[in-house]
Amino acid sequence: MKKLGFLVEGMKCGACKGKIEKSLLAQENISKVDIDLNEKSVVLECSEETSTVEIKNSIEELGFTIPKSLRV
Amino acid sequence: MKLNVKIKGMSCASCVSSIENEVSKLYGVTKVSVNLATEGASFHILNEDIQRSVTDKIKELGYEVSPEDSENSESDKGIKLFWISFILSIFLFSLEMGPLKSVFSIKINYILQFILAFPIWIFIGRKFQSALLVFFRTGRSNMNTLIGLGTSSAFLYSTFITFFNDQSISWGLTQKVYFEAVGFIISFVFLGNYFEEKAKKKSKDALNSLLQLSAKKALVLKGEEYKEVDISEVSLGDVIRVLPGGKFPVDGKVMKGSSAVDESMLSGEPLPVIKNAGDKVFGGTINGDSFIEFNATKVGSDTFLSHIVAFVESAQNNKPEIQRYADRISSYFTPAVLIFALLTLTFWLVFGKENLWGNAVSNFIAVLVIACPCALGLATPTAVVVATGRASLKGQLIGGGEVLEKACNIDAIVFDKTGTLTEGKPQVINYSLLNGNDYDSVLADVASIERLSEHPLAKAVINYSIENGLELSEPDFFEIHKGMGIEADISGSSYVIGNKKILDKFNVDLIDHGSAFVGSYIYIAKNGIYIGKLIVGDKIKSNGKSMIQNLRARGIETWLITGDNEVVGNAVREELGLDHIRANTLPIEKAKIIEEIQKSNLRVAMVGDGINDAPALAKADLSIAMGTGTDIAISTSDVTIVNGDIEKVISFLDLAEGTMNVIKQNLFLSLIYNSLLIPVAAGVLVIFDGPMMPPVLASVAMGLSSISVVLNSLRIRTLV
Repeated sequence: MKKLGFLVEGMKCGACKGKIEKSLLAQENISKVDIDLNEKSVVLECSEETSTVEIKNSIEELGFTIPKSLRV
Repeated sequence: MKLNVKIKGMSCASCVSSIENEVSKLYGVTKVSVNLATEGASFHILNEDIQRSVTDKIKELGYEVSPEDSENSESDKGIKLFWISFILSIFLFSLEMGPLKSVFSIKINYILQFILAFPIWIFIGRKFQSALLVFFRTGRSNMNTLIGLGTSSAFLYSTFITFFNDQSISWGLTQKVYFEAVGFIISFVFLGNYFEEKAKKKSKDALNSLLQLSAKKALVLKGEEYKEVDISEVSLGDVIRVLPGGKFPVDGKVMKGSSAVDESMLSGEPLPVIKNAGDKVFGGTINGDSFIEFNATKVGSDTFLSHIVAFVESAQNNKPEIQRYADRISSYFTPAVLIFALLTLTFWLVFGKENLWGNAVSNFIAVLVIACPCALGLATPTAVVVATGRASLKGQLIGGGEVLEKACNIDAIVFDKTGTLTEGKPQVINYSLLNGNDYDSVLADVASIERLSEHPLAKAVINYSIENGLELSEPDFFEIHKGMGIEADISGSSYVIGNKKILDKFNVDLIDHGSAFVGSYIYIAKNGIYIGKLIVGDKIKSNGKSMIQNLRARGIETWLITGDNEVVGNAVREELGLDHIRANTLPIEKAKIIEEIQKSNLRVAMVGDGINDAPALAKADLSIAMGTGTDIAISTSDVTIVNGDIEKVISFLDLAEGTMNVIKQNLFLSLIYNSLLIPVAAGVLVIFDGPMMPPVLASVAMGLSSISVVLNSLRIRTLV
């Protein structure tokens, strides 16, 4: 188990939040997703071999931008 | 619904406007556009029933209409006509000197021959007879005139012998018919035409592929939301949204958003250009990974792409046709033959002893018939077929015989830079680290970090490390600094990678450790200290230098015309040793420069690969496209070099020169036998108490010259 955190730009409302949650939880290796709209943060718990780059790409494909990761 | 058709028979702009005017008057037709160059027309019609009335109208105006894509009909027709006239000729031959010779009485035999030869002369050979009429009216002659002259005199003389036999005997005309000569000459010329037609590539789709570049729909802001509208309904000032990966429908100015836009189709440069608010965007270019909203500033025929289309169209329409070598030779040969025939006529009238008119006319006709060489029709086509066939095996597609002839006297060659002299895709051209750093581990780290970036240069770095067989890993932390670079922690070290700005931001001192490369620099700092750099640029093709040297040795001027800046352009020019350079050129400027060079009486070839080269390619006397380039460049060009191997420019020139020599030899071979027999036909032997020309000599000359020509053409196979 490890934790990854991202700063995600473009999340405005519950719908954006739901979209990201749904998409991430659909991936097998991700067990938990925490999204804070005020902090613009997405923190997730996932298996050790999960790729930071792939997670970043999968969120960006939904139409959001990730300028940095968060130290979690 | 939309109706697309091909219209044949249009020769000028007034044909176009008469079709447009008349068809647009029809009920149910809402939009009409006819293109002279592509012979294409498209109509918007209300329903299928209207289709019929549109095509009927066009036929009524005197043009041929066919559904789109029936390109092969021309050459199919040619080969059919060849077979018809060839089979008829075989019968003619067997009646004249073959197995059927003594089956019928001479009278019946000649009438049968007339019946067989008549359709060949008047229908199949129509174009030769009309060329003859043009010659009598204007004095202009080409290969067709010579064929017309020979076949018409042979046919008319033979017809007279056949139907006015008593008269011809009383006038003392030689009792022989040349019907089979008419048949064979026309057959062989048709076979030659068919070969030439086959060797030609379809080149009329240039404008179509240009027009396909533009988007068909646009997302335009109407009130509160974006609605999809047809591109023709976009007006100035409209706010338009372009989705990631979408095409820009028209030209405009960015209002909101920022994205790397692929403008390679217009600029030829492979690196996407980052567009922010206030920047100009162009119709036909492709958006990168983010939304962009822009304000339409140019629409319809004012857009940059439309200007290119219009230019290519007019340049193609106004291109002068070159006079083919065979035609040039024929234009001297025809009057010479005619004069010699008339001299023969006069000679026999003045110096003849008996049967003045009979001998004079018979010898006059014999000269005209023998001077018409059937191998003349094969001289160019056989050489062209062998050359183009051979070339296509070696990766050069040649657009036909004219192309080979044009390529023989080129004085200057203009090259595009990106994709033509260079590989056309950004790659790492230099990687250097300060002492004490491990190249592989740093590269693996940098490439792993670059995976987080959408910057166009990132891909080149990632590819470079993959080529070096390195494993990429995952960064623990990263932050993207827009317009500067990335900071990231990976495998226990913290890196800062990017341009000079990011080094400044992190207070890293840049150490100069030398470099003479033109390209984009990616600086690498590890744990706060500068350790080295990667340079990404466009690699010059490895055999470019020897190719340019070869051209210069041939006395051909070499030019580099690029849309890129002077620093990059000059670096390429110096490395390859080209004579002249023009940098910062827009697509249509490239064509203007070609025009300038042409004005100093030089014949110019252009080598290019992009849409931005299309106007210049259309303007040049000879155009060569890289097969690795855009469709539009390929379809505008005379020659396509399939795998983009620039050295093939040389082998193409060699092939063209060799083929031209063979064509010249062929023309000599096809004329020499017949020319040698002209005096015999004129009756020289009679002066020395010999016979008048035996008819079999004409057939022997025909056979020998055709065989020599074909064998000579096959030699071209050894050239490439």
